[in-house]
Amino acid sequence: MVSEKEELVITKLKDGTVIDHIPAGKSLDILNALGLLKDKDRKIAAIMCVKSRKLGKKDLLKIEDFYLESKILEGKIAIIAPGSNISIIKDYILISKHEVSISDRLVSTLRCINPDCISNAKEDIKSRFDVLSRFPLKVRCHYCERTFCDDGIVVDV
Amino acid sequence: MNFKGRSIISIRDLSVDDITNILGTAQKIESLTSQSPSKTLNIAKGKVIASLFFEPSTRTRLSFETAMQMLGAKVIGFSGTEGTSVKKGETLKDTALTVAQYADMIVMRHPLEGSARYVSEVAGIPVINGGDGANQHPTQTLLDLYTIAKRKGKISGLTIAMVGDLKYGRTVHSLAYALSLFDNIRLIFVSPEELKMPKYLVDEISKKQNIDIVETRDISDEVLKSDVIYVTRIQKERFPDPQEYHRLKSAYVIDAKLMEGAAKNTIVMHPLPRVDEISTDVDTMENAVYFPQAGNGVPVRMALILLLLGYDV
Ligand SMILES: [Zn+2]
Repeated sequence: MVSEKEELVITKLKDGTVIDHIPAGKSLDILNALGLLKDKDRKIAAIMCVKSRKLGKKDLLKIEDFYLESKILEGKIAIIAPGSNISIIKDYILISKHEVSISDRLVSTLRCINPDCISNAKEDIKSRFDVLSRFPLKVRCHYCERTFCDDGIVVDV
Repeated sequence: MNFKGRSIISIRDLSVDDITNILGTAQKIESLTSQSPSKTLNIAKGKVIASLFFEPSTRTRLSFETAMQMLGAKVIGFSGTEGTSVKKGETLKDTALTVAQYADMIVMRHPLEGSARYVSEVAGIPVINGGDGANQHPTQTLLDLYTIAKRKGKISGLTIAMVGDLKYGRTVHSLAYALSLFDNIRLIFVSPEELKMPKYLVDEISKKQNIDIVETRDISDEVLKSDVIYVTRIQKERFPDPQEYHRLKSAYVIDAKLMEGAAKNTIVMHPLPRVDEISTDVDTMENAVYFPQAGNGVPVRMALILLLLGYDV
């Protein structure tokens, strides 16, 4: 475990994205959802289980030369790690910082777990869910119209 | 409230005004056809309607195709995918795009849930969902509502009891949802513990204003005296233990003796096919409306076809 002070020494990101305030243990799920676990050339600092005043323990990701600007990817992070923050850094300067949010309609973000849903058939089709409530998160598949919560909500990776 | 070019996929897409409009149109069509010497209306002459039954369903298909014929439209399509390009691995999207070259509208039934929604998004012509797996069958719900409105003169203010398998029956789910859009509805859900109405649905509809929901296990006196008794079949495959199935099933049979306790104007409905949950001795009673109910599918489907094609009735 590293203290917050040490952690700043470890990584000073010149260009890229910092994802902070990730609930502890979720950083690898985020990298997987972003498709970065398979990216062998990408420099990533994954800092896990550090102390956090807000969360008790948190994870933190620093990803070089990667600018997280896609709403779809942000939606995936918001599902996996609600409350986390995205900062865009260019030439050591913080360009933007915001907390991830879930939009009312999630396109290409989740996968429907209903095997009989048309969105799982061999068709040229984007998954689409309507958010029914945020706390707790409850979504309805636009196609099969089934409602999902908890483990029924699966991020499409 | 303009229906032209719209699709009818799910009862959730319809407002109470939409429903009232559809039922009113069906009523006009019914009186127009009864006045016509040939019993048909050639309003949609020259139109081509595709009837795509990826999964056979005799009753639904015959009712739809009767509606199409009575409007003078030409019907193309298939029932079952044997011998079609679907069997050769064609995607649903390609089938829909091809059919849309010849047809003005698609009526479809498909085993996958959400299939009709998907086709309505890619085909570029109106689609009527004739059943997408376990999901939706909106024309069934509309003909149920039409039957209730026709027999009772109204929908708001009625007490409707639903009896049998309320857990898996999509018919009762859609009907309960649609009724909850009307005012001062009292719903009595009668089922064994194992087959209760899903909680998410009860939660959702109990949030509506002016609705009263009761869940019970028994066909009580109040159930028998309600305006409508809507019966569904309890299916054997839902029970691992056959004895359990027989015990439960027999507790929810409507027969003439039980109906002695019903109000004179209580109507008994059923989406059909019926097995033995309504005994045949009820068929000749005035309360039995399940066969006319099936017949009401024709004017309701005629109304939908005309509205979506943009005709005024
Ligand atoms: Zn689905």
